[in-house]
Amino acid sequence: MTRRALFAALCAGVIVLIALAGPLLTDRSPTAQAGNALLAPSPEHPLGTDVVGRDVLARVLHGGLAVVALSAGATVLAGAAGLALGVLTGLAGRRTGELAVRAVDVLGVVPPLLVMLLLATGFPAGDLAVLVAVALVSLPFSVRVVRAATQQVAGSGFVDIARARGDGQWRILRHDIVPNILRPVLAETGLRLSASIHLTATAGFLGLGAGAPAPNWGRMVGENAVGFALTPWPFLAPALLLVVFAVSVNLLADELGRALGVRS
Amino acid sequence: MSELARVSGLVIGPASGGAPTVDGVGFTLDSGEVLGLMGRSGSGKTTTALTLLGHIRPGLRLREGSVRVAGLDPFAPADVRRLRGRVVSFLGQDPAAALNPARRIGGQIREAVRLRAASAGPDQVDRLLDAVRLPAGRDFLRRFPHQISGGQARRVAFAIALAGAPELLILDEPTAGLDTVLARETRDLLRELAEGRGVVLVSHDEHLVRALAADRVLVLDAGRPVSAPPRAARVTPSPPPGPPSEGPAALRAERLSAAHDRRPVLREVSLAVGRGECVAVVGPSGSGKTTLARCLVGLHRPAGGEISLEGTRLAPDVRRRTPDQRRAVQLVAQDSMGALNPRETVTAALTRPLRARGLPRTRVPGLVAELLGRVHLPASLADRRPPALSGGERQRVNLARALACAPRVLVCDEVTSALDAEIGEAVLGLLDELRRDLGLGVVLITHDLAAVARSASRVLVVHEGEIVERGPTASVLSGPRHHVTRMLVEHAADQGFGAPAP
Repeated sequence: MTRRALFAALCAGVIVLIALAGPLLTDRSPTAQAGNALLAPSPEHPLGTDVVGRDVLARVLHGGLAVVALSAGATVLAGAAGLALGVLTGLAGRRTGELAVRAVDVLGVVPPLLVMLLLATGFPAGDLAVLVAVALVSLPFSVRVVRAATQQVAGSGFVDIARARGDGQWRILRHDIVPNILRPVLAETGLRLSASIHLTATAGFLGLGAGAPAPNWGRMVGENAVGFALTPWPFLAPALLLVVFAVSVNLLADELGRALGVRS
Repeated sequence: MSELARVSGLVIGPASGGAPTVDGVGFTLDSGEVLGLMGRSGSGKTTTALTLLGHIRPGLRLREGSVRVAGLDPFAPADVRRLRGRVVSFLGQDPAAALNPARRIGGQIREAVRLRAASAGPDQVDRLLDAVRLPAGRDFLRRFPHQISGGQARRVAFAIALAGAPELLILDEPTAGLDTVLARETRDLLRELAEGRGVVLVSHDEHLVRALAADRVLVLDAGRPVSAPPRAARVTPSPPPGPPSEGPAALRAERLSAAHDRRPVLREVSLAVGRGECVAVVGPSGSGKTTLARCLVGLHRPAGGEISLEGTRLAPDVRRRTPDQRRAVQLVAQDSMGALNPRETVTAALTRPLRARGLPRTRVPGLVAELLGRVHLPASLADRRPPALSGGERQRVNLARALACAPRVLVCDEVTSALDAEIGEAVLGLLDELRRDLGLGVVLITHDLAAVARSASRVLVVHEGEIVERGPTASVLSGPRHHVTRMLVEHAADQGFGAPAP
């Protein structure tokens, strides 16, 4: 592991820890009014209060879960669906595969925000809509990468030999195709995760997802932008956490790609 | 003559420690002199040659010794820029791979001239093209690398390497992997280009070393110079063992035709191979040999004709054949690396066909050991993956995997063409043994007439998809009738492989 990878992993780890364990670290409610709006940091409110007077620290500690869980969930969902679809279209006949990929590509040309807005207005269950929307936006990339990798492996000599010997499609898939496409697919998944974080945060900023009082770093940035001149912390704290998270995941994805020999 | 290069006391080994890959090599080279560096794969010959360019492969380290080229030290950053391309030029195994696919030929040559030649100018480009015998027309220069033939791309790469008028050429296996015709052409060209230059030639191709009239030959073995000249790779035509058996042929193809995207590549080809018999199919590259192999095992759907196994007609598509029929005909391919799953150990690769035959799990380890013994591989290789095996070892694993299916016929597509002469010879010996011991029929597809002379009882000559000549090996090789056969025999004779005496 390189020093850079170690540093990135450490940063990402701390953010994930804050997001997951955060709610246990404070007994303050993230949604209750705790004092006047936009108070400067004080011993009672270490990060001050936000535009409606809620404790910023409590909201920061509660607000990471949505971002981390939604982006990770969407990446896993898109990764799994992409693996299945990509392998299938990669092994299907030329025409069928081409057709299926074009269909998925249609998704890719719709602007991500539009997909999100459409789903958010259609779905009442806020966070689920964001999850599905982010996964749908990732899907075309994932399908394309898996398909290209599958086609490359499917054309290789050892797959030919296995076919000639009479190995079934499933056996070839399990022994020959999947183990050999894992590296590029994993490296791609790293990049997709960092894109998903970006999208999830954007959704929060726009107020999509779970109902208004629920804490969410993306939404906090949006809500508190107006009070920035009075006290920057309600805006800066979640924004910094998001930046560190996105950058460290991005670095980690790059290092992963390098370690897997996919990119240099 | 003045001294051009001096290498002394060279010791190179893994950066992490361990046995050195080059151990105490030293030589001097005067200008205009040719030095051959020979030795089997892994003997350190390329590693030694690359030090003249100041290059050490990642993972290796220069431990001792010094290198001087024209009085400069290639390992000194200040000197290396003055050396590379101007004093020393390198030509590797696939020089054409160095061409930029997105740029026109002319632009690439002109750039090399501008950067490195003492006198730039359009006539300099023409001179280079003339030297490598390429047309100097505008039309040719405007083409992209994919619009010229492989042989021409090679010449363009040579021209670029010569742009700086280097005094020292380093040639690393320049003929490896070429078919006989292209290899001869390359040899002739290199002989001209080497005129008046110092050359360090890395090769295990003796004929090339002879063709370039190497003044001296340095033979390396496990990184150490050995004094004895290399053992000549002599081919002793052994009498093809065993008469063709009676009864229906093990595998028979009848008037087989095939096409790629409607372009016909095989026309009415018929062949039959009996139990324990070896039938050779020879022909220049592009004659349709590989397509024939793929048709026989059912990977390429023929456009016409039929294939039968011991008198039973086989479906053209492998998926329509019964499991027993599929196992009976096995393919062993030329590209030993590509034919093995890089993520599978040797054991895993051999276990799959055994399990697919329905053999119980408990018997598998014993059978794997037996298969490894059959192809003369030590059991210690069982846990390795393909990248950790040598070319010869990989080809043996491919054979063992085919044997795991308990086949009756092996279709061997250029199985030795990527191997050293010595290792290829050993693989052919193994095939003879399998034929004798297991009664396997072998279809030996090759362009190597020495292999044919050694193993096959009958030979078919394919040219542009048609069989142009067929008959017993001895009579075809000693009295070729068709001009393609004559050409193949002549090239083989050039390489020192005489046809067997009639």
